[in-house]
Amino acid sequence: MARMKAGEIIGIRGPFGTPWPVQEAEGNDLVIIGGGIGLAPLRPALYYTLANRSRFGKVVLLYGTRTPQDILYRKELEALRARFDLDVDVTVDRAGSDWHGDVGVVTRLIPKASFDPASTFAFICGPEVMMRFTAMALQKREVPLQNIYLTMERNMKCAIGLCGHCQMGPLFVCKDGPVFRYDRIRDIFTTREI
Amino acid sequence: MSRPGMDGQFGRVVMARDGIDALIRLLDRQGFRVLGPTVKDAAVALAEISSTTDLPVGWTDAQDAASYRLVKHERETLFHYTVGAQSWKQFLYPSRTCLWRARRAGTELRIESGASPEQKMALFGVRSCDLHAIGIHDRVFAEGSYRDPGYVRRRSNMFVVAVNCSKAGATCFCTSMSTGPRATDGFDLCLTELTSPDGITYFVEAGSSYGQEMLAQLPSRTANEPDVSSVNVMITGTIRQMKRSLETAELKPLLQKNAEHRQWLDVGKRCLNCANCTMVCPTCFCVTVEDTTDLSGNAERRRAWDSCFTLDYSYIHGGHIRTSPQARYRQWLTHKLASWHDQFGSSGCVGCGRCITWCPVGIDITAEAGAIRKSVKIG
Amino acid sequence: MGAPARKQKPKVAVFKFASCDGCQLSLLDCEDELLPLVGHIEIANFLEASRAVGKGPYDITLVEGSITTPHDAERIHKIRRQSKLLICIGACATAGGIQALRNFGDVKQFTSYVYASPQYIETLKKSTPISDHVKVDYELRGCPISKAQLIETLLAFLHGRKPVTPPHSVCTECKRRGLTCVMVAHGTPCLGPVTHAGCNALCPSYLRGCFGCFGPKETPNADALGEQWIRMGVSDENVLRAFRSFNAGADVFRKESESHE
Repeated sequence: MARMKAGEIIGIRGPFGTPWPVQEAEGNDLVIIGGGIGLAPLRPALYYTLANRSRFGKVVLLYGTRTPQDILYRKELEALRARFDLDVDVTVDRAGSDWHGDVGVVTRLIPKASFDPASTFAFICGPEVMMRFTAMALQKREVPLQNIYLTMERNMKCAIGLCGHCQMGPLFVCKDGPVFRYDRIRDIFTTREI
Repeated sequence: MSRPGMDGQFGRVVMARDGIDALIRLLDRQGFRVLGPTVKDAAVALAEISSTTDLPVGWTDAQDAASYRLVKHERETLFHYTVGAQSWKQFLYPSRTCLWRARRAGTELRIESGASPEQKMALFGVRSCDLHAIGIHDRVFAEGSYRDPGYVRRRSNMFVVAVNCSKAGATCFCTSMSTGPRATDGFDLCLTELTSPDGITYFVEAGSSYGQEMLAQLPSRTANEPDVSSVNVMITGTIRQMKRSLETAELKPLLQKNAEHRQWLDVGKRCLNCANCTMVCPTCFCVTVEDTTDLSGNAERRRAWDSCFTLDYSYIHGGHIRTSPQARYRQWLTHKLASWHDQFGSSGCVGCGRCITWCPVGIDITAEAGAIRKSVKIG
Repeated sequence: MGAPARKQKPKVAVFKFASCDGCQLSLLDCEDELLPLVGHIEIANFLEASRAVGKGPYDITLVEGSITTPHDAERIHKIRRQSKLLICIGACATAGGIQALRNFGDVKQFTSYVYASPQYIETLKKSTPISDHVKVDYELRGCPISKAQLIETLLAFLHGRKPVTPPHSVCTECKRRGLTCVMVAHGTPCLGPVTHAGCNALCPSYLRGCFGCFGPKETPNADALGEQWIRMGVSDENVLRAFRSFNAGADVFRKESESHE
């Protein structure tokens, strides 16, 4: 798709599935946590929040990626860091001496992030292992499980819950997800190869 | 088509074999492509038929886990066997379908439907388990929020002739799933083959007004009470023959709570993950979608039967979710017997036993589910 | 839709190593599709079709055959360097071929039986697939390959999409065709459940068991199939032979054959 030129045709079906519950989160603090390419699906939620900034308490963006070169939307993130109404924290797994930011996994940013756990919503997107540890770290700070949302990825062919590819236990990522409430999928989420 | 079933609203008659031939001819004259059981490559296979001589006349079958043999029967029966490897899904939900084609026309792209004209079908000799399987597909493809236009089209023009089973195969367990052996619903006509020392006759009941209309045009006599009791005796005999069973009480929570049971590991060692069980299953409907292009840049999107037993089924960027055979078997069995209830309000299994017979290593769904139940009870 | 508008036609080359030529013959065998195909590609090197040898680099290189000599072990590196995309075709190139039977014996002994002056024969102890020597971009299985898969693969690379050559079992194709299982219904030993699809279940359609021409499928359970064959009354010797044929060198088949020694 990246090689396509203006005027060429692409086919799109949808929308399907569940969105980030931005409206339910209003009136609360919001922590958005992305891992690697997982920042992309979180970006619309972040922009909705910023466009309706007064409806939210504290807003925090935590982002982890492999190396400084892998940082997605780097320029945008730099601009966002300058805002006073948003905390942005970025960490990388490994970096050279020219990197002055945090090094380590994204979960390490959670204990020091500034939000009121009891009234916080969290949106997580990244590799499954990252989401598992992130949800655990949020749990440790006593964010209510029903306020934690994460988005799952599975192979999809039909997007209407029929072809079977995205099935996860009784759930279908295409129609019941991709955004799931953590307390509803915790058992399935922690079962291997389900 | 209304399908009131066995309440006696429609007629019941008794006919000889020539009546069955008259029925096939009548269906043919009305423009149906008549599909029914035949003998092909030493097995009962579904194909076009034009008379009763195309049926497996005088054949019966001996089935067991990983084994199927046709055996000569002492009588000139037409239906004294159970289900073969294929199910009716090959006609109602074909293994390969073209969804659409895209053709280049200068700088424009023309999208055309992949559907091709089809003759209406009469399914002849559908067993009760398979009627229930079609009922399940109706819920999936015709009654859900998204309808499959091809399925709906084929289904709405279809005539169904059911057959009550005169024997139970060694892999049958329809009584456990409450799906047979008597056909109670979902047919236009239902046949019961009655063998007596005097000869072979066919008890035929209509299950729809269309079936009733057809029945009126066939050579027959009105059925009487002894005929009805002969049917009941035969079906009772079939039920008694059924050796396999699957305990369904609380099966859904049992399987869903035991995702990490050691039985999965055990079956994973035996399972070939060859996908035969899902291909022969009359309800398995997973599909993949493939895009192809030709030299001139025209494209085609095709749909083909897929299986949760393949590695690519669970592929996502960076790897596969279900790499182990036990995870794939667990996915199949728990979907079929447990999460199918969450999705469609019934079990996905109709007890036809095909997955047991046609598994090359004879893995038995009733035994695997049974082993988990047994160990949990003890433990 | 990045189809035919490109100015220069992609250069395709065919190279042969230890093999019977059957797989490259599949390209000539394409008959109906071959002429339109050459309108879209430039066949730069294909000795079976033409003596003209076009120089590299090549956009797509098809490699047939396995590596059995020190000379070939070097030659494949040269070819790799000249190829943008290297596609292996057939059981020899992907698994070492039937000639990988030498891997189970002593090649010196074989040459002494076959040649009058074996001292002039320079050969390696083992027949190995191309992927043991250089990076391979795509593999087409089969002995021989399926011409439908060959065309599909060339078309896919010409259009910049992924070829559709699924690695699941032959059984999947067999059942999609509505064939009767020869193993269950006839008691005929069949390698279909562990063999890579691509032939459209050719042998079962003629009531023969699958010979495993396409080699192991993804995650094959050859162990369980071997056990089932034994239960069916097949001797260890015949299980060994079945797994030790065109794809004898493929890991899973090799191990299963060895377990029946």
